[in-house]
Amino acid sequence: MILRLLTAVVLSILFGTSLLAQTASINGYIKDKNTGETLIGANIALIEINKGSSTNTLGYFTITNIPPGTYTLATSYIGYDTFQRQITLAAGDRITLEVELDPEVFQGEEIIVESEREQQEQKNIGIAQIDTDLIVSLPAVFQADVFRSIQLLPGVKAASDYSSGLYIRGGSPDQTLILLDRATVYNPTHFFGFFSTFNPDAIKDVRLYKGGYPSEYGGRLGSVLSIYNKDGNRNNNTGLVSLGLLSSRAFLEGPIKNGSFMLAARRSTIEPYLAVLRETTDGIPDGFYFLDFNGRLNYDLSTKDKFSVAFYSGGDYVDFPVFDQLVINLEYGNQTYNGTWTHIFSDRVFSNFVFTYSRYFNSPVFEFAETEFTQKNDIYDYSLKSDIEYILNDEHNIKFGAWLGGMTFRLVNTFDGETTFNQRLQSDYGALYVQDIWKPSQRWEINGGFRLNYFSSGNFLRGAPRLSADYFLTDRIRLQAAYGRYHQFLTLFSNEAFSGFDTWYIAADGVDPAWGDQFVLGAKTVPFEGYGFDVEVYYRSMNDLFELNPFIDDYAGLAYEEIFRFGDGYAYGTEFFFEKRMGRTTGFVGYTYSTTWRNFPEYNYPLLGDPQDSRDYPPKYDRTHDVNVVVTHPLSRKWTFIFNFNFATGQAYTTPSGRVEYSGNDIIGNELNSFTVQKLNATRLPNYRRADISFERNGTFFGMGDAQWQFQIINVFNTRNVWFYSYDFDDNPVDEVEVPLLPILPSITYTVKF
Amino acid sequence: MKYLLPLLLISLAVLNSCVNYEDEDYIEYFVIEAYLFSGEQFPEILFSTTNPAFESYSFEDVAVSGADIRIESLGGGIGSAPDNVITYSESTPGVYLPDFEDFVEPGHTYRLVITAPDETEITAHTITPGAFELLTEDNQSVEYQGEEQLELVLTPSEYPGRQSIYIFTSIAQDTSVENLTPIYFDFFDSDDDLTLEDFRATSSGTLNEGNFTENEDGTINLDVPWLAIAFYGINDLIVSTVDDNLFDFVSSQETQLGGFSVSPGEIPNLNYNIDQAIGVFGSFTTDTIRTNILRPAE
Repeated sequence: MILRLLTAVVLSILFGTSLLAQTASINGYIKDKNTGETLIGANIALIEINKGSSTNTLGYFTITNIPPGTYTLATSYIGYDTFQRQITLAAGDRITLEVELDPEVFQGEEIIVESEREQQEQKNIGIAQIDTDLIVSLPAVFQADVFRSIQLLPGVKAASDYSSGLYIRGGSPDQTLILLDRATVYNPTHFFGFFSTFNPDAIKDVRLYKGGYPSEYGGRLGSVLSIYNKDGNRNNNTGLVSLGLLSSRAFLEGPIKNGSFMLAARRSTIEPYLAVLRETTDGIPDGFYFLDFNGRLNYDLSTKDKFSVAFYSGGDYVDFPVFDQLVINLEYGNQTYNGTWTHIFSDRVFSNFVFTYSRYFNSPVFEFAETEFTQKNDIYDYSLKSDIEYILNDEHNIKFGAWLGGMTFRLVNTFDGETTFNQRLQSDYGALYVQDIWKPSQRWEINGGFRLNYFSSGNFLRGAPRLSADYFLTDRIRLQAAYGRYHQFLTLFSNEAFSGFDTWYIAADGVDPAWGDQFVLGAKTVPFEGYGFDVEVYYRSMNDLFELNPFIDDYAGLAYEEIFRFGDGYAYGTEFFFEKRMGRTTGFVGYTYSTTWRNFPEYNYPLLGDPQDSRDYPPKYDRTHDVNVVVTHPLSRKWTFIFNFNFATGQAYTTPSGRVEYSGNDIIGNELNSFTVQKLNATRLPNYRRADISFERNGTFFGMGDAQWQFQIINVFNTRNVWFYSYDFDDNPVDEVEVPLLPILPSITYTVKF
Repeated sequence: MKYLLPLLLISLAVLNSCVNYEDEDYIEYFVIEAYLFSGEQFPEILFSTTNPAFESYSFEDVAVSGADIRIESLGGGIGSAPDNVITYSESTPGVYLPDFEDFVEPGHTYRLVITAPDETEITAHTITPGAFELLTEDNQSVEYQGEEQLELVLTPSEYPGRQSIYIFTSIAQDTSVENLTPIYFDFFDSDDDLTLEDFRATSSGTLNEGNFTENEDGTINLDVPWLAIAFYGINDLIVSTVDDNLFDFVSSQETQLGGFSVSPGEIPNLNYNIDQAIGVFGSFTTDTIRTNILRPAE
């Protein structure tokens, strides 16, 4: 049986012919009629025989094994008018279509009805998607941000108002693989972590695999965030200029012969405010800016061969002379490049081949009385990926591929001109995967796969089975289960207060990769037309976690493996997601109950007890309850009101129990203070509450193009949320000082589209 | 469908019941503090208890009187029979002094034994770092941030099972404000809470031996970093090597209250190597030279 299946796959790929010539097939792309942009996840179906498909990440679809006849071909996609046409198919027909959908125009009081079917793909277990239009509209501190929007989804938490890091299902940010056009992005933040590097103008699709992700992805313990840039408008030259308080953006797209281009740029514009602040306030940097560029060029050689090249380049640059002889310089950022060849072998075999290059750099320099401390951390990552999708028949959709690459890790520390730590590790890596989406009946869909990972640094070979099953109990209830094993060969040293010193480390001899299992159960329901109610329950383990030992701050003379500590963790939770997608008022409510735990040897053990009796503890970002409400309501043709509210259990922190003042001496310091604690992070900060509002006014810019004002207020009730407590030992007794999160913060943005 | 929600809510309650991680009330611990310096007399030992974190602290209030304290010399290492015992007596509440004059040896094992008034027996060991010598000429004059940095040359110290760990300290002899080096003047000027005494002794923190250049003859070179100099004029430059107890104490104290390596609000306990108490029973081996730091030429 396996041999026959394999033979069929090979023959079909080689000769590109349908093995079942008595039936017909349709394939092609679904695009935005105005821009020619391909649409990801759009649905297409033949109504009479209830047979359909959805577009993949390149906007391509295929429907096979269609009996000859005349059918109504219908397509649908959120935000677009439904498309229908009659189509007659004869035996052996293989028709390639290019379906163009009209963007919906908002029409006052009109009720907009969406079919629940089109969300089916997005409702796969563990997947969450956020509309790119919503990202731009949501109230955001200073500017629209992809990660801040994702943080509103159940299962995703923010560490603080100051951090855009994604803490998904109990995992730290490094447990999420972030892909931009399939290239790994190692540094996804600007402004010390305040917001993400992704320019919302340039983004077409944001897809988050929160957990239980399929075998086509790997390399991270927790989740995958896959972001695709826009292709560029294939019909007209268009652009956008946006002026904000913190940053300004420009975007340009247009057609070229047989293709399109897209360019986006963003730069912080905070320097004038810093200059004003410097007049009255100490500690303001002399120079600080960030910038990023996104670009993409598409060229269609034929309907079967499409090429694209894309790049991203961004960085943050800080020049901060605290005093004349105390200067901090900081540069960090990321660059990605990729080239993609998409080839359609046949109506059943679709493929793409991608070359990716990603570089992360971080090089802080401290100069203190002419004594210089430097660190240089680089990751160079280049890879070749291939993914082949083969639709064997109505029951089997097979996907397989390979990912081969090399990675160079470098970490160099110097002190006063002398190199104190110099580690350069080179690792080749590879992964092979195969998965089969098997639909044995109308009610069942089973996705089984296996991924084999190899990492040459340390010579690690790891196998990872993945399995998920969907059972369509009724038209409106879909039950789901998933299991997967995941491995991670990197770890990130970061601090949620400041991501400017983020440093990546990789597995090596004596530093085994982390691994974990994930179990997910879910139910996706449609209680009423236009509404959705989803539930997912998960449990995940985290084993062999490796992270920097927090008690070691000097690595000189230490072996690489000696700078780490190794531990375990686990997390579990339940997520509820209720959304309203119809009518004037739309939005969602997400609720998460979750908990996450860590355990490291000789850490958090009872004082005076055995250091081996280390206890589990919750990391700071653990929140038991988390509720998000997002509402969008058009007030008129011109005005739209957007509201979001977040309530969450206070984060975990450690309450000092006792204190000691050591007299010390001249060598280690005099009057050294310390606390004793009973349990690490066993207390909760006050509950977190924040409401943000936004008013959007759409108009025109002197008749030259569309324009939009955004008036936003962050933390509209000025709730005094607590970030953490610091302690002032100058007072006796010790003074506990509250360090607050964001106060009320207004923001104005003006955007012109031309 | 109608059973789905109740089932989920029940499972949620079950999950919730699994979590039992409540903080515990304050517990009082004995605290000891003693620093042995190789070649010097046995030091005073401070014996006290912890204080509730947010209550007013004074050593006199927490001092423990009436303890029986001794330091045993274990020439044969940990587990061997004592070859010498230094007994202690209380001089003022919580402060204990040796009963007779004796000197700490480098590269030697000592055991602290305290019997508290409630009969709790507290023990700790220290292995004093091996002896070393500063070969650099004494009483040199060096121009601050001049062409030549002051270079210290020292014979290597040894410590069982690991590389040596050093602390570099400069102690100014004239702490007048006019003598402050520019960076320390800026610090002093920017914070009203700081006093000149705060800068009298500046220390590098712990530095691994791997930071330094090893010469062919086995000696080690250390360029004195300018950040270590807070005052112009006469400074004593002290190079110290520390035992495991001090290294753990210093590094974990920095992590607890000033570290960047844990999330804000996560406060780990210090690493103590004491049985039945917290604190530090640590040892140093040191050598000192005196140098004159000259103001930069105009």
